[in-house]
Amino acid sequence: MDPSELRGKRGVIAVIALLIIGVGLMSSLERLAGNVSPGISRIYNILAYLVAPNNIATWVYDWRGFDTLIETAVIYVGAVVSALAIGRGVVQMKHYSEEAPVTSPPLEYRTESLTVILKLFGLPAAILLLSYGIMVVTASSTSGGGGFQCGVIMTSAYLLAAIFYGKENPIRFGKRFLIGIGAVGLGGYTLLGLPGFLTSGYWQYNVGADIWNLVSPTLHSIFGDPFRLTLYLQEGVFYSTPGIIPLINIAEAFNVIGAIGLIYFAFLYGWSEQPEDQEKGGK
Amino acid sequence: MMPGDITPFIISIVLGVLFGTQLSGKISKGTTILVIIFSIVGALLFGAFMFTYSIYGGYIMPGLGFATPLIGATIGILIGKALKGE
Amino acid sequence: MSAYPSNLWSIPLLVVIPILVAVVVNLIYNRARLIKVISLASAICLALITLFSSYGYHWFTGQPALRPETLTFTFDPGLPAWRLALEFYFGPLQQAMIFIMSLILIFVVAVATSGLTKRQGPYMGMIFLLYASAAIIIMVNDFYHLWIAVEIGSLVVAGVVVGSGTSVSHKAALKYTFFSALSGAGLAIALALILGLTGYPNISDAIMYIQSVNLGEMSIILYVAFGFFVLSWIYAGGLAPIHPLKSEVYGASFPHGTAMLQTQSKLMLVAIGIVMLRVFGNLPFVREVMLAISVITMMLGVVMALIQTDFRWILAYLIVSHSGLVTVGISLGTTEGLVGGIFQAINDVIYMTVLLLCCEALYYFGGKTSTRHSLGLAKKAPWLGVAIILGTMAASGIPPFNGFQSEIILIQASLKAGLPEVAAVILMVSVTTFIALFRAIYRLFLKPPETSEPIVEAKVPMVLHVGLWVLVAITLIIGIYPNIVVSFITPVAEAVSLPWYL
Repeated sequence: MDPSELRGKRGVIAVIALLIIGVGLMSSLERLAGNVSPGISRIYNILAYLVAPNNIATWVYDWRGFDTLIETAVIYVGAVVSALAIGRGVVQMKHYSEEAPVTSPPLEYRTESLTVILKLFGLPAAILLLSYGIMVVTASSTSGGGGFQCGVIMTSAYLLAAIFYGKENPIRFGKRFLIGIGAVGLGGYTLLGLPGFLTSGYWQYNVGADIWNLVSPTLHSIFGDPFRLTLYLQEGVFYSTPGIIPLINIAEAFNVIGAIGLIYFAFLYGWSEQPEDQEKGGK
Repeated sequence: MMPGDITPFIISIVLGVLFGTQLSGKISKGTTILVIIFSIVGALLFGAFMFTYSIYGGYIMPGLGFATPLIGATIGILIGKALKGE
Repeated sequence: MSAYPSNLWSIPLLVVIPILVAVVVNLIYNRARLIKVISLASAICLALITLFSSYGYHWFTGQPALRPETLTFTFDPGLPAWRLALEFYFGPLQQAMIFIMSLILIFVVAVATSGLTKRQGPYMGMIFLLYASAAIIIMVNDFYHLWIAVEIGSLVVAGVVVGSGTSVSHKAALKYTFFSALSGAGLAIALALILGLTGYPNISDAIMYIQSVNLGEMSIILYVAFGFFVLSWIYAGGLAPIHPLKSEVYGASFPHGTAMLQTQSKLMLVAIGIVMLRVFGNLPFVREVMLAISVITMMLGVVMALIQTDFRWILAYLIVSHSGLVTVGISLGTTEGLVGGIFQAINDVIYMTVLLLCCEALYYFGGKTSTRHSLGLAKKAPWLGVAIILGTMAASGIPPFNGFQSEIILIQASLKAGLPEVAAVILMVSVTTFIALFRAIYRLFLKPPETSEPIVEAKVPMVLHVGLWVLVAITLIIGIYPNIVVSFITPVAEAVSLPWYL
């Protein structure tokens, strides 16, 4: 949008609207201060110890697990739409075309100016970042960590390597890999709802934790036992398991890597429809 | 020991191999050693995961432990790279 | 025990199948044949699921509800209890709306897969996600999830528009995404305020809480939340004053894409409108604000449609104008108003799809949709001429078509509420719709061509014919037997409605 459009009448209207919104919002926030109703969260907190030790993981991936699926889909859609805008999957009518599709060229790299030391440490740093990302996803249910963070850390490793080495990126996430891993991620997350649906009738019921005793003990231990931990808490000792939460997090991580990686890939290297091995210039 | 102590380590190796196969170019001996040393140091810094109470999960004594998944991931990545070759 | 289950099988399938299809078609990318088979099969599947499903609730993740008086957990949705899980509801209204949407999806998918070039994976994925987002918004009974669905919906709209790759569509999509971010953010703030006030993301639970406690001066928070809700309603449905943005979106995408976009947008308007009525309907001035926005949208839309010189853009502005027709009924909030508004939404998506499919057919006759040229197509394609005239009659509310039935209910509702001005505007909209459309039809179909240069033609695919005539038949059937649809709407309208108090 052109900023000059905001001059004159439009600008005045916009400022007045913003003022009204601001005053309304501030006054209601002031009224809410100290008066926030706990509502459902009180019940969630009472039940927390039954699932993952990391309460937030339980909130995000169990109580509100289906919300998180759609949020994950938001990231996926964001990536697909961004790549679409760059040129991946642009469609035209077979018998009629108005104009050639808009495409954007890849960025130009000038990696010569980087110092030798940076180039030397680039690869180990990127590999360590990858390991760190993997560690973070395995810590989803016990401590701060999870799929979102893992995905972001791993794609930042990819971006770091791209900055250091340009087209010769040692972390060579190809387009097929990125799209595949994104599909496995979102598809996997979606399908993790299936065991609960088929056995209890509730989509994405946590069959591993099974706190409401709706599924058979066999299924409960298949999904639950691998992640079972001893929780020494003030209230006593509990042997609880996050069930499908760690698996969901891995799927989530895959999806985020696929999505953000695809955005980086498309914006850095542009999009062309040739197969990858031809693009690399016979390498 | 609970199964939850070891599972993250196994997962980290598997994921490490998966992403290791996506690396290209050559990784020199120096880089390999550097990465291993740093991941051991990092693992000690991060400490064992909460609620793990066995040596398999990286727990040594209160306040001392190592994050097995970090080491597992590094090993996995190096294995993956070796499997793929240059 | 309640008659309704809390784990109805069909609800998750209606959401999950489109998501999985979107993932798969995006993955297989350029294998056009396979994409066609998968997407057609699943669209038909979705229609059948809606048709044969019983009614009930689905509590995602299988958490029960806590009964406050006994402090016990229950899986029975009939009892008053605080829901721990995310709740979806599938009832008669949901069935009618989603079934019509599935029907349109089938034809849109069929037309798109036969008319587009090869690499249609991501684009088809977007169409399915559009369906998923609308299905969620129609069924969900949860503020938080409503917000996420609106957010993904607006992103997907951008995807469908940008899919054609033209500079016009890029511009429209960018503008729309920029502003629709406000819609998502507005809804998020409204959600945060309501959550802070009540502590319950479930809409029924939040309403129960609001009604059970004396809010006192805290009720101003509800007003602010309503303000943000309206903002998101406006942005999601393209109501005034952002109607130019939404019509740009409609005009810049392929006509079949527009058919799906307008379906999603109108059904979203209905669903969010009903939520607003349920939560804020009792507050003074709320429905007046909604009504004012709707009336302005209607008038601006038709006026803009009159001055367009391209059939695509005429349709784009008419769609926006008719969105106002839908929201007028919902803003009235009376039983007749709600029946009229929701019925209008369902009729509207059908006859607009007829007109949009006709517009798509024009692409096979050289693709000129500008009304500056006269093409004299009636001679070349008489069937198309008949279909477009029938569609126009339905859109302008001429009996015996479906548009007439819903517009007459709307006019009666506004007269009953003591608002003859609104009734007059509704009449004006239907007359102007006829003028705007017929002007274009005269130029494109009836007037003999000015130049003698031959039109490049291609064979119109069979599915387009089939879709067109099936939908025309539906407009006629609903027009003659409106009770087929109205009987699905009435129970909800009676449950939600409030008297108009002027």
